[in-house]
Amino acid sequence: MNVMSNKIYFLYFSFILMILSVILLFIPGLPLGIDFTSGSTITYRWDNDPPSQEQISNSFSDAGFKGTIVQSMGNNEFYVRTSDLGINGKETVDLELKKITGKTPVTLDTNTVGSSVAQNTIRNSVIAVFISSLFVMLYIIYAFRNIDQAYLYAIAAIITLIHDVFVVMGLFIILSLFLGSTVNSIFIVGILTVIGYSVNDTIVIFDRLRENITLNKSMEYLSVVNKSVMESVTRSLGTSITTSMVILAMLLFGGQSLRDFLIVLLLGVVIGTYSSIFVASNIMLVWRYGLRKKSN
Amino acid sequence: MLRFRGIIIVVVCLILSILAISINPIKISDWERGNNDNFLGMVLGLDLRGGTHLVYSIISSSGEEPTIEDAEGVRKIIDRRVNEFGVSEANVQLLGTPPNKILIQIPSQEGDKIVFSFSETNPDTESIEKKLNDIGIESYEINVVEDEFILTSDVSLTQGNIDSLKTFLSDEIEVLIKINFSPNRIEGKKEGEDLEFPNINDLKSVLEKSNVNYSDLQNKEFGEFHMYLNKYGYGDESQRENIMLALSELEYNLVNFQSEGNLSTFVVSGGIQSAKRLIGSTAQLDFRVRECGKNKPEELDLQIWEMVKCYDPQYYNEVATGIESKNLTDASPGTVPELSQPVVNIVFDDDGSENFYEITDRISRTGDLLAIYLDNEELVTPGADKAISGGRAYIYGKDIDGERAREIAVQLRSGALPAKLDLIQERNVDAVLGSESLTKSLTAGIVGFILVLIFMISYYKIPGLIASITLVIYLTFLVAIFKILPVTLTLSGAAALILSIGFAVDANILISERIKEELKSGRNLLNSITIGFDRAWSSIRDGNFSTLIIAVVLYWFGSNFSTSIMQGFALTLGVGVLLSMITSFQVNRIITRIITRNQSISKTWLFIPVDQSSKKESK
Repeated sequence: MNVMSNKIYFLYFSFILMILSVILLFIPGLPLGIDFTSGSTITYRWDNDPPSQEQISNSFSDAGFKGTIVQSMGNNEFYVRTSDLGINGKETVDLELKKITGKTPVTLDTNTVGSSVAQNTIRNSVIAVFISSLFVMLYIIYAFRNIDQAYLYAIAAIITLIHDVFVVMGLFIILSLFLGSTVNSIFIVGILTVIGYSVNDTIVIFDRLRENITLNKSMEYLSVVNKSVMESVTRSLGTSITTSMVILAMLLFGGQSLRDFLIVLLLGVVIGTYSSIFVASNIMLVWRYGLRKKSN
Repeated sequence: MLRFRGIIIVVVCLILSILAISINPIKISDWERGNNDNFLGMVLGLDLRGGTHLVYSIISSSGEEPTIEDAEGVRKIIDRRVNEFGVSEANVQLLGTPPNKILIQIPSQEGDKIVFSFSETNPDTESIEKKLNDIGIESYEINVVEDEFILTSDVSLTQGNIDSLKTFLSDEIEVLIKINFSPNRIEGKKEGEDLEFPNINDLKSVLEKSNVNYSDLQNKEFGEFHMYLNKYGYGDESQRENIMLALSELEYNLVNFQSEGNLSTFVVSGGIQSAKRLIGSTAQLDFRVRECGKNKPEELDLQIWEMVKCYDPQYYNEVATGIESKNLTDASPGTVPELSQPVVNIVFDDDGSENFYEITDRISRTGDLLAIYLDNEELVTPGADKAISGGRAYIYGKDIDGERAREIAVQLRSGALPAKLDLIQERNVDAVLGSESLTKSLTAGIVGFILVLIFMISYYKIPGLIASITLVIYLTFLVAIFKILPVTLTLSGAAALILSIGFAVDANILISERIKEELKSGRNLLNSITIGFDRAWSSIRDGNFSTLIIAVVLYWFGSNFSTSIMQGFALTLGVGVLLSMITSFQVNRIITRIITRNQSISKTWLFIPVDQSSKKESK
């Protein structure tokens, strides 16, 4: 198998994916959840046999209010945070809740509520990621100082990282249309995790490349890249399969509350592995050979 | 011995880690970690464990509905307070349109602690325990250590509980008062009979005149009297002053006045109490000049006048100085050599420094005092020997222990609240993510992890087995470190934890793959292992280092811009990656070396993964 001979297609593919993701970020945009928007809070009490937190959350979902957070307060009382209920929302929800146990719960109080995450959290996260990318680039330049044009590896790693973040967000938006996922503060953590994974995965492949460049000085660059990617594929797959195994197990058999977060992680692992094999090294090749297709 | 050094270190660390995880709580004098009801004794955040749900109504200083600016200001300051206090990822939200309430959910805190002590003699513990039952405090423990009563309660105490306990201890326990008079010498009597002490009836009459409710007054020898009374008071000298004034009417010199068994300290700390104090109080620091009384009333002794002129509100007069919380640029808890108790160091801004200099200059000449109040409660009333320049000072107070000093510092740094807060609801709430749901996820995660181990052993064989052992050791170290630091584990922390486990798995796979390649290139087993480790190291190092850089930047950024969700993630990731880099490589190498010494399992085929070895056979 010669992954690199078809380099152009993969780069085009990834480029299109990225553009689509950026478009999706504007239309329809990230489905912001109640951590970022103002909404309503309700305290309910059931006289006896209360439903589970998940059942209540599902009822809200059925009534059209996704991403509701339900906290048990003891005494059969539940504190619910959901998106803005508007005028008729509460009635619809109460009807859905009645379906669970056959009884309408007592509403102890309702309130409107501001966002729980400070307005600048997303902006701060973006800046923090930007600064850390700069430092990672400096480190790569230092670690690759013995080979030509070390800064290109640093730039390629960061482009790969940006690619991963955007594509994961784009895919998440598409999935959210079907699954009703929302973006809450956990989402930021998920994206940070994706970044960590992506950088590590790319660097391991570049490291192999660095080693092969010094060992096979006479070999053509294309062949060295090819050899390095092929040698790293088993390890990349090994790591992503094991990591995905844990995430999948939690996604399929774990509780509902972590679902959206785990989806981000799973997308991150898959995209991260894909990009480290097909995107990162291809960027290096394009730099060396230009965009024309190289027949091998 | 040298060849076993590595494995000995690993085993010792492992035993220490297992001890750290299994002992609950770990207690070495003041240093305390973990408690019984948490998972593995770890501190879990609001999203994973639940906590306390507090709703305060916001009342503006004029007593009306707060403005939107006031409410937003309250939210910001409280956010800063809980973050700076290290309560990680609390939930602070405004309620109502327009906002007039504030909701704060903070992670479960450990139970409450009340430390109290009495001067000289202690009352019997039984009466205190009986009172605790009467006021409905259950599941507590009382220990007496060095004359201090330490009451620890597993559950949070309400303010009502605490108040009734305090009233009981200060008002209902009998206090013994010991009084000594020096004798008056009677002229014309012979030596030995010329000394006259006050008699018991004199004492009775002056005490009754001043309405002192005493009992069992006894005349001991040589001018010593004993009596018992209730309501001696705590943090309130009026009863004491009342008695002293009464006694001053006798024509004898009072030389000793001693109380025994009265409450002398009462400090509530821990958990939700300190969180509530931290959140709910306005934190308005106020400096006033206390002008001591100038004109001594005729009826008072000079000795008593000196005692009361600066401390009895009916004689002194206080004047505002204009120095307040907003004049501070920094506040930090600390200690000073002159005092045995904790203090809060404060730094004034330019206006504050100038003002403070002028005021200390003035009182150093007049002999007046500086009265320092926090939320209208008197802290200390120091005098000054000379003008204090430099804009630095420290404050302390009777009930300010180390923890309270830290709270006050946080409050002063975050600024005074623009409105008053009134606690209207206090409840316990379950984890944000739902405990049922989390338990299911945790189980699934553990099953997934075991699947990973099985996969690694069956695919990579011996290196996979070693990797699995390494991973388990790594996890043990990690949990122990988290507990000892302690790291509050929230979902963002858990995400970082999963990522760092992923890195540990990755490092082990890298090593196994490298050994495999060297074996395939025809080297013998021992050489392959040595070279495999060498070559794997550079990628493990670079990958982990880059992640470490990200973690450090995120942590720095998160702590400077109070984005706690980022901070929690970064801290866990940083610790996890650093540890993973060391353990997965070193521990793996140590175990591999030991195993390869054993000839019977050092078969090359046991080191080559499944698909490759079968391919070889088929060739």
